[in-house]
Amino acid sequence: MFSFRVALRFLASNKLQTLLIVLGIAVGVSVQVFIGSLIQGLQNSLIDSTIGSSSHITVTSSERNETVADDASFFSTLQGFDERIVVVSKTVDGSGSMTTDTYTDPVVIRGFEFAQANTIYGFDDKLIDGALPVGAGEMMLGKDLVDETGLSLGDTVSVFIPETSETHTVLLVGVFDFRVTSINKSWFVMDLGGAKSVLSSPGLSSYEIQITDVFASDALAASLRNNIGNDFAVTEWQSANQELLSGLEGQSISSLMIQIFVMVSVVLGISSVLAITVLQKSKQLGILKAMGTNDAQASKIFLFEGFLLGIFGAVIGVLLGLLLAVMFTVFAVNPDGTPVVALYINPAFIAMSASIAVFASLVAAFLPARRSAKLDVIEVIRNG
Amino acid sequence: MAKVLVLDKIAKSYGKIVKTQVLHGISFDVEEGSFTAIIGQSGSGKSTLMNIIGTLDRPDEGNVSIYGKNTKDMDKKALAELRNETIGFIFQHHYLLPEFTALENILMPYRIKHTKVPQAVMDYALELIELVGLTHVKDNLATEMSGGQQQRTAIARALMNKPKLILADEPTGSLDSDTTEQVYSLLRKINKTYNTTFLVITHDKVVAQQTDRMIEIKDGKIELDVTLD
Repeated sequence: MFSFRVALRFLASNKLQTLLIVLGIAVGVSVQVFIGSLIQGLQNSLIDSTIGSSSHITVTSSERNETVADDASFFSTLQGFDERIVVVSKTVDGSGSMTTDTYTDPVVIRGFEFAQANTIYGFDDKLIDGALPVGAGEMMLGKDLVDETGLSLGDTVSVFIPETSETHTVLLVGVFDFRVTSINKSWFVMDLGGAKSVLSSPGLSSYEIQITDVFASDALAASLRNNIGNDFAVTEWQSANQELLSGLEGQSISSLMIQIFVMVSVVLGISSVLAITVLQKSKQLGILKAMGTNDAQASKIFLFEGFLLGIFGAVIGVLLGLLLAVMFTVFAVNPDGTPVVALYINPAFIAMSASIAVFASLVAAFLPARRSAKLDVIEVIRNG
Repeated sequence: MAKVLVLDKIAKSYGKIVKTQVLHGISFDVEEGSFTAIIGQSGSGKSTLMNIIGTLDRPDEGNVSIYGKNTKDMDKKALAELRNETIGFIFQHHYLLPEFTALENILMPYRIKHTKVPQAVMDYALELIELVGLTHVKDNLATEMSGGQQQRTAIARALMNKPKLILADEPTGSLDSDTTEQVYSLLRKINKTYNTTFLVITHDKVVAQQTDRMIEIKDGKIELDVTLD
């Protein structure tokens, strides 16, 4: 391809200028990749710490303080309701006060079927000592509560249930750590049957649901509401976390603004340099036209230049951006050595940034290309 | 003999507010294989005439026919193609592309049209470079050659697509007298070897008198048109 060959040679013959433009584009792309990855990493870790270990959609009774029936067919209806539903977990909750030899602490008694609940809460990972509780005689407590009360595995505690005015004796078989103090201090975790019997609960408190696309929770909850009838109330994390969501959105918009302005400056930069190149190369273009290069070929030379600059700039920029992101996670660390913001590499986002840079370079080359097409041979020959 | 070029009442003026008429109805024919000199003082309109013949510029009035094709109704793209296939240009300045080597510059007119250079075409390019005596510097960049070498490269380039007509505007204008002599004998040799038609602008009467025909332009009109022996 004639125009491509000429473009390549023009770029190669002025190495310093080419290098400068490529670097200009690369810096733009790297800022985009770096800031984009950083913000996405930040948002992911925020979302993860907010809702990663909790129910995305919760189905309860529409009546306050009422239970819902533990119904196998309803359970399987929920499970098969939408393919985005990862897991449905039955829970029984209630309050009580736990008494040891020296202390009395208010606790939240929570009963789970661990096979399902594990997917949401990750008990297997969070269990730091002992085993998961089985039946009405066993429970596990959070690390903070265990530390405060001085209990150890194998100790028994009394738990008083205000609703029934009954007291039960339960054995401590496990210790978990959720890294959230309020949970570590208050949860009194049993298996589903155990909790049911201790709380004398006929049914379930809720069905907890976790889904793949966390931002689909409101839509999915709405369609659940329409399908399961008025006996149930459906709540989801998005409406319960409006402030977090608007914070995330503000962050996304400001990151987008930065990226747009970076790209605009890249476009202006390439465009002005290429416009100067058209002037520099006007003699060459003039003679090429005299020899029979048509206007379309003459303009393609500069479109190819823009394209090539964009490709090289994008590739170097992506590498530079990733390097920046990696350096950030290596050098910006918490006291415990974990990165302040976990590195999040989204190939689709990076591919998009690179494509935008290539596209922007083409757009930037458009004006110089038009000038090149319009260049008059006679002017060049006469003033040559 | 076939007519390579027919000019019919070519008129051209410049300027939008104050019009300056440069050419006043110029008509002449050029026969295939001839070597014609166009002479005239600077400002006589000879370069304008050359640009119009080369389809780089359009006349206000009159027709230019090249090998029987009237160029009046052709669009820019068709004209570019016509130039590429039929006309070779040699300018006072060589206008080589400094980014390319001598050989690459010579191949340029071919590459405008074709992606690949077949061996036969490459051989012809090498033959041309031999003809202009530059085989030893064929891989030099245009900027790494002397003025005479650059102009000879430009001549070889003009011949690349085997054009029927070569237009040369002061081809030796920037060269010393020895080199001028060499270049003209080269043009003559090409004229004889390939039966290429030459139309050469020069202000040098001595050079002009060595050609087949001499046309003198004065104030945009033909002052003199003589056939020489």
